[in-house]
Amino acid sequence: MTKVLIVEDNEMNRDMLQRRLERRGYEIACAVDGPDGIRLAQQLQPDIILMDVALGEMDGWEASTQILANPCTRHIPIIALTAHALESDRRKSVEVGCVDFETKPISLTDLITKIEKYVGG
Amino acid sequence: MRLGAQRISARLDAFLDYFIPTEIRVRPDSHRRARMFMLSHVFGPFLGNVIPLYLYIVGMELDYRFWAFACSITAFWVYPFLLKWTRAYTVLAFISVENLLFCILWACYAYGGIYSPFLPWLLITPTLAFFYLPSTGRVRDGLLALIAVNVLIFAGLVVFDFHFPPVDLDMFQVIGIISTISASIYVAMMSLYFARVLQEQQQFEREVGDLLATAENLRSLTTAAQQASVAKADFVASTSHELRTPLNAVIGYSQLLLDDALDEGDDAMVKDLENIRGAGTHLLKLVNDILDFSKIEAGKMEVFATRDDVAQRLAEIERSVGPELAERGYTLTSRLPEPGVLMETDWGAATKAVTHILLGAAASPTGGSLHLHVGTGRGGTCIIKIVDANGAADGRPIDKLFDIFHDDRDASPTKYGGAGIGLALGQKFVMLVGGDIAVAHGAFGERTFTITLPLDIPRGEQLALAS
Repeated sequence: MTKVLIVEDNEMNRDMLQRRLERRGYEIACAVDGPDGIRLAQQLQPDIILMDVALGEMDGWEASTQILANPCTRHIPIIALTAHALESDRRKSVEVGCVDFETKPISLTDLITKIEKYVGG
Repeated sequence: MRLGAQRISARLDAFLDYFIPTEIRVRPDSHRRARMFMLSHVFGPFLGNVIPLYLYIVGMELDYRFWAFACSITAFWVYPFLLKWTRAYTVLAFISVENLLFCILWACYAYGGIYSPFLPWLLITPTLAFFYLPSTGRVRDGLLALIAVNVLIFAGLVVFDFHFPPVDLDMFQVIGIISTISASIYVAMMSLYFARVLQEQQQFEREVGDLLATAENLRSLTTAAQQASVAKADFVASTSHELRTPLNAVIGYSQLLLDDALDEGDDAMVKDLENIRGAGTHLLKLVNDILDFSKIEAGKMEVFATRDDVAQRLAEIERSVGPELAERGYTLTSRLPEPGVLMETDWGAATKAVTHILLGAAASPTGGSLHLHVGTGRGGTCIIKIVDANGAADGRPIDKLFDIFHDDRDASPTKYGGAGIGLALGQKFVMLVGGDIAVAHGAFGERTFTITLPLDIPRGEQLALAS
């Protein structure tokens, strides 16, 4: 079963995404902020990480950078989740090394296509 | 009459200025003094020469005393030319004061000594000197010393009873009156001119002050307006973010429930939940549009240009708006250029521009048909025409189409609300990438939006154009 780590500080967004993905047969773990995400990534070794970029003190870009700098977690693909489809967000995602980018509100079909693309391959 | 006096006075000023060097004219105070100097040297000899003329008429002997006196008066006419050639204003002013002192004291020495009718002229010397030169510091001390030395020499001649050539003082009763009148006219003329110059200068300074105050006022208003615009953009940005989070929850949870209802086959519930999700999605789109609009207006929307194929990108836009147009009862046909026409632009912004105009054009509640015609134009441009076959019939005034929320009719083109800010936002995006948009009604009731985009985005101009 594909293990997905969701890093998202908003409780409702986290809950929705978790339930929608669980329904499609994914195993979900949740982190509530950047440091929590970095810790769980190392501990749980998920197959893929969904990273909200607008986190609290440490933003999603910083957390992604740290995860990709750590030899234990650098192999895990990260998909950035942003609130608004800005070209600058898309560029930033590529710059910090995220494999892809998805805007909210999340279209479940698109997200699952992307997850399968990076986990399957 | 008044106008005539003004014209004469302007001519006089221009004549006086002819002799004054530029470096003196640029400063108001030195310019004022130089004009007084010029006035005195142009008109002074006319008044002064009245006296030698009288002496000549009454048959005074035309000896060295007479000629030295007449020449020292006439010599003042040389000073304007010396000023123009040498530009040494201060030195000339000192020499001129000395010339005047000599001329007056010589006349006194030659004609009557301390009883001379010309002695009152001595009083005008310091007055004139301080019309020409600043009454401060070393210049003032120098002038007073100069006057003192001359008067002392004269006094010395008197005290040591140096030989005065004898004259008939009875003959001088008339010239005494003429001399005093001449001196009075001379001082009056200088004072009047000085008063006028001062008044003009004060008025000028007042006007300059007013202009400076206006400029300062405008600057602060501009700054305030810019700050207000940025503050508004910040407010809209933060408000939009606050609105988006709960909206995402509305959309997400209705989707969750929708999934459940679909599983259970509860059709009534599915319809209700689809309405909730649809309204939420519409509202979110509106919030995003307002945020975009505000960001472009505040000059905060960044532009990232890439080169891409026009036909391919336009086909993508066509595909993405197709379902929503169909939902509104619109059909969309198109004629795109052959692949290979490349355009360098911010494709994100250009896509939004075309999408907003397409959806904004499709505003009739009964539907219609749209045609998208894309080609290239003069001067390296891409011309995108959006033709609504029956557009003019919807009654929206052509000059109000790009106004925000102008469309306030009850019959809504979409299920969840009015046309919103689509056309206005589309226009903003067109301008953001350096393009232009025009709208026209045709002979067969069609409405055509013509978007002209440069094939190469103008560097550094986008934000200025948009804001």
